[in-house]
Amino acid sequence: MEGSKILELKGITKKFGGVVALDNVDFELYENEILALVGDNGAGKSTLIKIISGIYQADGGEIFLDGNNVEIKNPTDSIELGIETIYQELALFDNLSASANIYAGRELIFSGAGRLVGLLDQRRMEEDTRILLNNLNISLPNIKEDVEKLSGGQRQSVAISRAIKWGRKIIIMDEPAAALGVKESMMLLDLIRSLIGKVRGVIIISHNIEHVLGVAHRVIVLRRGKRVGDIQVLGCKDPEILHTNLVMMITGIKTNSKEA
Amino acid sequence: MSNINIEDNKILPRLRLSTFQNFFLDNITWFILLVIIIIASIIAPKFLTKLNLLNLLSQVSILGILVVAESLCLITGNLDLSIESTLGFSAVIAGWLMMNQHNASGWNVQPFIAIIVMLLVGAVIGLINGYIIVKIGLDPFIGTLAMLIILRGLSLVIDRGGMYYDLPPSFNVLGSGNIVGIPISVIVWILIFAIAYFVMSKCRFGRVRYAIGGNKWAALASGIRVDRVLIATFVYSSLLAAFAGWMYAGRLQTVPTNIGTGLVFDAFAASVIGGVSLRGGRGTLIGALSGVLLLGVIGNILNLTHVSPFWVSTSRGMLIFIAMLIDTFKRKIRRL
Repeated sequence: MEGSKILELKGITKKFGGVVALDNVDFELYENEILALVGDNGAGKSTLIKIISGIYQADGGEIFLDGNNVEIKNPTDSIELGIETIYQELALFDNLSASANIYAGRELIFSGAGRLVGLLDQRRMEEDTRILLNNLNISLPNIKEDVEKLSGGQRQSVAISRAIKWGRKIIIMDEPAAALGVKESMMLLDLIRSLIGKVRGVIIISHNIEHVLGVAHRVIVLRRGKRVGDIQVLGCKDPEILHTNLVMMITGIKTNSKEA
Repeated sequence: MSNINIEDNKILPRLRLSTFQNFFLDNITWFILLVIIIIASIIAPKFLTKLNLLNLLSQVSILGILVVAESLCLITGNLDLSIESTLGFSAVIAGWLMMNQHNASGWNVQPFIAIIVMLLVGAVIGLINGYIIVKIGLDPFIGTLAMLIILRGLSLVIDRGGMYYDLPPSFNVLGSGNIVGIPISVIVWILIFAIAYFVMSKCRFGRVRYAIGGNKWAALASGIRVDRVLIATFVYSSLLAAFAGWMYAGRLQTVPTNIGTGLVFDAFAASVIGGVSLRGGRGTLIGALSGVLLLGVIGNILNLTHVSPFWVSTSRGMLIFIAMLIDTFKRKIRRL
């Protein structure tokens, strides 16, 4: 799928002390693409994503968004560029309600006199959240209660709703199906497919090759901080060979394949 | 995540409580307060008189302000042990500036200037606390404990162990004055509580603080400027402590060298009893208020029934213990 590149990373390097987490990694996301980022533990997937989301700053390399060189120094920069990230830990506030979680950092304030004191428009936030969850077919027992009282799958839904609500350009998901059962995973994959059209690109990190092959258009493979593979999934004629190639790249037996 | 007892979760599912049951548990201190007030009015007939109640509210005015300060810190996931010394130090500074005694400056500074300096000193102390804990990364307990001790020492250096007395009447108005028979200190501390409640539960000010206290990392990831908010919180806390110093010195109309000593424990006790968790992110100013009133009522009863004042500390300690038991009980009931 060769549209234009909406996100491009060139030569990204990141060290933590003496450990090289990412070594001169190139990365690109095309328009309307669901891209999977795979690799074994320690491959650097989460690190790469956290550089895009502003949690980490790369030691070397450049980032381009729609062709423009951008600096992402903190999560706010990333958010302002239209990138929403769902971290593996979900980054939810256990002590806040679903609507408070979804609006965290972006609360709706009453206009006029309310603006001076930052008066929260709780009712509108709750109403909007209700509508949002409804549209995504998510049902919670009580959207006013603290999210720590929700089940794992429900918490996941809240995190995803947050990203969908605010994501304008790119949505990134780090191991979104990790805590989900089979049925919930399938629903999640449907949801991910439906994101194209709402946002311009989706990046998913996953350990689960079945999921990856089920939903991704293309896969980039990292191994020990280096990019070792780039495989087109959409339009692939032989899924089994694809599967095998992927595993071989993840485990280091094979590198740099551009076709299935 | 919350403290989950793994054994409990294996056997028992999450329990959903009725709306009333939840309401009861969340406001349990108010119910206890109600019970104690009923008991008090029976065993001490003078308890429910206007004079005694006003006296009670007046007695907790300083504590009330310190509890607002401490709750602010606790909710963001921090704590400030230095508030009683900030109270003392700023009062000592004011005394030193205004007075003429051998251990004062002799400058006879105007009270309103002294007050401004006091509050500035409070703000600066808060900035230092904030910087050390947020930017340098020192543990809040250690950092504010050190500040607590340093400020006490500096107070001694300045007042040389002596007190400042005969403070100017205009300075004392906040602490000693009355309006239509009601102490100004009572009106002011209740006002401070009301404002704090409003900004913490209805405004963005509070929402970001609860967020940071609940999950600092997630707050960062949401684009909240965590460092700034935390430093500001320490500034507010110390500013309130300095303000309390002004009120306290004004009430006593002197600045004893050890002014405020021991108050930080009471402030913690009231906050914790009122449901403001040491973990951060939980508890409300309404709850904290119940803690303040509970401490006040119990102190008042012990006074009215002529129990030795030495029992007050013991009773405070027991209250904290009971508060912790209640908190554990609440969590077990909800199996959270």
